[in-house]
Amino acid sequence: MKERIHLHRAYKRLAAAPPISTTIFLLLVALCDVLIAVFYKPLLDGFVSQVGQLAALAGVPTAVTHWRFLPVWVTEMPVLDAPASFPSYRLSLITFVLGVLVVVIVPRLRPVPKVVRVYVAFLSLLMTASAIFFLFFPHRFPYDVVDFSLLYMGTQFGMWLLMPIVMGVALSSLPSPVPEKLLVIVATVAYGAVFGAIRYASFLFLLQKLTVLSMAAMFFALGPLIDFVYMVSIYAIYVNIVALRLRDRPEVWRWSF
Amino acid sequence: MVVLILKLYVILVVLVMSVYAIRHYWLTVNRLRGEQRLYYQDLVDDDLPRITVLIPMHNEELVARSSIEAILRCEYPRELMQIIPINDHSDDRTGEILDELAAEHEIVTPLHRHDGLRGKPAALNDALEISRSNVIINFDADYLPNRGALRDLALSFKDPEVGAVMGRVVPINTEANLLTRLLDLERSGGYQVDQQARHNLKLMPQYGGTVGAYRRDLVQAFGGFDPTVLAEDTDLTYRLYISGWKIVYANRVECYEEVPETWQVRSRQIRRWSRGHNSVMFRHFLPLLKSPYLNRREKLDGMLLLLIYLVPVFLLTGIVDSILLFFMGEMQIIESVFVFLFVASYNSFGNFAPFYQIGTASLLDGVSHRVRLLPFLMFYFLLNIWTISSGFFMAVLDKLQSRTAEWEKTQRFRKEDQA
Amino acid sequence: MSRRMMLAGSVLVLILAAVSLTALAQGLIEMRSPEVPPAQDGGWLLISAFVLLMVLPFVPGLLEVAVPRDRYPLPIDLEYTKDPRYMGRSARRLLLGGLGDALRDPGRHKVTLSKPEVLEIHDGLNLADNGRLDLLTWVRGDAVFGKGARCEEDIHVDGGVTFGDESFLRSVVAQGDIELGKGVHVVRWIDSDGDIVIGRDSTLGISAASGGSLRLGDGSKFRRLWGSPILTEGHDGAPPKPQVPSAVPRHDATGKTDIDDHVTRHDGDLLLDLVTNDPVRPLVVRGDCEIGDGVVFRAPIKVYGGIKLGKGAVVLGDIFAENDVVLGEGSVVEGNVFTQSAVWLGRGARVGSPARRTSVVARKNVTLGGAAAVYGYVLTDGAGEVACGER
Repeated sequence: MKERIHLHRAYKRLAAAPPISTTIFLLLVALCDVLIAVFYKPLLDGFVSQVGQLAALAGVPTAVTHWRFLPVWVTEMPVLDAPASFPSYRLSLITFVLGVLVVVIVPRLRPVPKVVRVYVAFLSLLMTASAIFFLFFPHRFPYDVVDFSLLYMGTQFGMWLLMPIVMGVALSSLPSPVPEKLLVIVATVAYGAVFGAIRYASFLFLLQKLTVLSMAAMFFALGPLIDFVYMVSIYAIYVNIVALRLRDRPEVWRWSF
Repeated sequence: MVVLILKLYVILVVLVMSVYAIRHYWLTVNRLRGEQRLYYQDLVDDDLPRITVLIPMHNEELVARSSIEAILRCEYPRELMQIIPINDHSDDRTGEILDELAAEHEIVTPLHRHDGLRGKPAALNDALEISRSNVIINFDADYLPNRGALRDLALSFKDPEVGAVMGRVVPINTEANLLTRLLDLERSGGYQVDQQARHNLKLMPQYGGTVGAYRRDLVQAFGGFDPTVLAEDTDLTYRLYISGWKIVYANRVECYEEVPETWQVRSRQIRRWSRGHNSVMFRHFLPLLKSPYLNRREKLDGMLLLLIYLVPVFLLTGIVDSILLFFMGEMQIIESVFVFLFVASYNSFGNFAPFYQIGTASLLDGVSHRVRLLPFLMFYFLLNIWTISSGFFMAVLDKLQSRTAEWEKTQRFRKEDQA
Repeated sequence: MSRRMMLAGSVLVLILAAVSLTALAQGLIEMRSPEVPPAQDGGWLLISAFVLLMVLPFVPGLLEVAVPRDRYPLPIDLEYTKDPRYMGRSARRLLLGGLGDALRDPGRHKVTLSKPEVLEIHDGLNLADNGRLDLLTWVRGDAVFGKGARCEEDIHVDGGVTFGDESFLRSVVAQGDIELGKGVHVVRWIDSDGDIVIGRDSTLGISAASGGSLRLGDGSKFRRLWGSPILTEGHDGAPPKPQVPSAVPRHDATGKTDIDDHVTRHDGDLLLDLVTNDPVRPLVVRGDCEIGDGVVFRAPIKVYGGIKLGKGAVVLGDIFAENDVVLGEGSVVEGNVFTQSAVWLGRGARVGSPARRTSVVARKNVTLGGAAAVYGYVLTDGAGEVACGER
């Protein structure tokens, strides 16, 4: 016989999480990080080698080199060197003019949703800033492909380490089995690795085709910002699954009046 | 030296973002797993306070009748109740409709304003002068409360420390488009998790200007609502806390509201909020820290809340800082990791409620597939950074030039047949 | 953004995804065949894959926008208002609303209330000891259930109803009085328009609500009670003598903003042991508070800790507390008692009055001592119990 009467959502909550399972989960999340930190060398080497193959598919010849990274721990970072073109004065000028036009015109295009206009304006501003730099200080541009690669790999490695933590923290309070949550974290890191490899190879290809003028836009508009999107998406799909499951398990809820 | 300053600024931004991410995580876990602090709606008392319901209206002919009829449906002793709909410089049929309602119901006593300052704060001040009660309940013109809302809000003033109370706002036009659905998610995270957790933890729940109530004598002793402030609700929140009063959050008092259906209207609204909130920040930051009535936890929470519309400015300047470092050839190794850190944290914060807070709120609200829209908050967040930052700079100019912001009403989308 | 634009966006993304997948597949084939030279468009294949992986996270959301499955506003019951007798009224409404006039004769009827059920209607009912009732039942007169009776479904009674000792019932709604014997177990609720008498050691489910008085035997367990008055075993039922003065001074406008100009605040623990008839301001104690024997306090009290009223102490206002509230023997609170912790009413203590029904609300336990009286409402999120301490 049903003794529990389910009341309003206002003071609904879950029972306090069993400290043991939460601790185990957080320890396992930490273990994920430790594994990445310990086995960084084969992971980074394997990643760079895969990116090299992908770049070859795009007709971009690459060479793996190792650069000094941190004073301790990851002392050397494998990166890819590849040919990249430098923007001509004319290309910089055209980019500057187009960039300014887009920045001026796009915010006034009322039919286009404002969110899209803001994102396009952000991209255009980056391209314009880059064009100005190449118009006035073309020889002072501080990066070649190796520098960019080092920046990219540093960020990528940072993401591998941070993603389990961010996802672990976000998932820790959800009422679902520990292995399942770990699977979600592994899936996120795996997606990040595949996406990161394809993005790196694409960037190398674009640096060759579109010149180093697009480097800033690549890093700031298509870089770590985009990593957040799939992370949140995977989290959202998982919460959706948990929410549907909880509909059939009302007993997990506690109610204050 | 310049490079060092720029790098230190990146680190500062990362630290600020991390503080907010931790704060929101703490609130999320508390709401989902912690003990829920009781609100007063379960008190049953024959001795109810006399109340006045204020509904500011500017050209609200579409919703005027339905919103007042919704208040009239509420269960509250009629002899203890007064409704003052404020016709604030309307040039449509609002005034006429209010007079019709006044003829039908003795407790409806409209206030027609055709001269003097326009805007909600000035309108409320005039209405407070003719109110016959000390407990004032505010609703916006498009709000639809449940029948118990007035009683549930009024009861909180039995607590001698309570200066104001705030209920939960629920978007009604979620079906309209993606924007309204995103706003629904954001509201859910903001009320179901954020406000309730701050109530649980005895921090500083916020009075939001509508679906809320306050003591008239206090507001009048403060000199009334400041007509030069666009965020009169936040202003009152801080005045009350700094003077030792408490604000309680009533999660059970739910009320439908209409949220903006176009990005233009939304960005204007958020820019106005930012401008108003930041001007309140300039005004109350130091008094908050000096208040003898608040403990350290309350001060910290109050400070973080007060700075919430400054954070997107931090982010924007952080991005500009990073771009500068990039072109100076200084974006290396550690900084690149920092960039991810603050991008991840400000993405998780950027929409007033981080993704895990919204996910948790969705679980608590018992909804399902709408949570899949979470990734779209990225676009919304970019817009917020821009509009909130511009609102901040307007507030700075207001302060520097001692200029007064003009009140701007949020456009309504309700069709006549829906009213 | 309109739905149409979102649909167009979704279609575009899907086309893009399809093209990218095709290109990726083609590229993979080329990679696996060393004799095939790298395609000219390998780079654009890579870019397609990059774009695909970039937009893929939006696809579940786009699908939800294009084919919404969860788009409606959160449901708000606009009719909701606090009603201590909600359970009974709602059950009654559901029953009467689900029946046509033809279905009011004695006998069994198929009805659909919240689900299809069989309703048995009696003009009167007398169930023998240990009798069992498995159907939804409507008794149009009085009903008597013998000792050990077991009722698995809801019971509606137009007259009065009596349950023998050790009975078991799901819920009962009666227009007349309800009397429960000793050790009766109620799974959900009982509601009466008349008076209710509860035998010792009974368990009252989530609610026992009476339009008249509610008398509780020692050892009764409860979550919510409603009655005017609610009396525990040992109370003679005599109405209380009115307090003089009975009125709480109103919160007057002072024209000042600081809380110290409106209430008296005390940091740390406080013992109030002076009898005073002077009007006082509301009191806020940032610690524990004790009110001495016989002291009369004429205003509301809020305590950050716990509060204890001594023998015969009187508080004319409300009490709000963070920790336990203990009302000593014969003490009186004319207003509400509200705590985030537990409440204990000593022997002969009283909350509320016939002139003003109030509440005892506690997040944790509520314990009612012998001969105690509450005029109005009792609610606990923990365990409620009558403990007369005489056994």
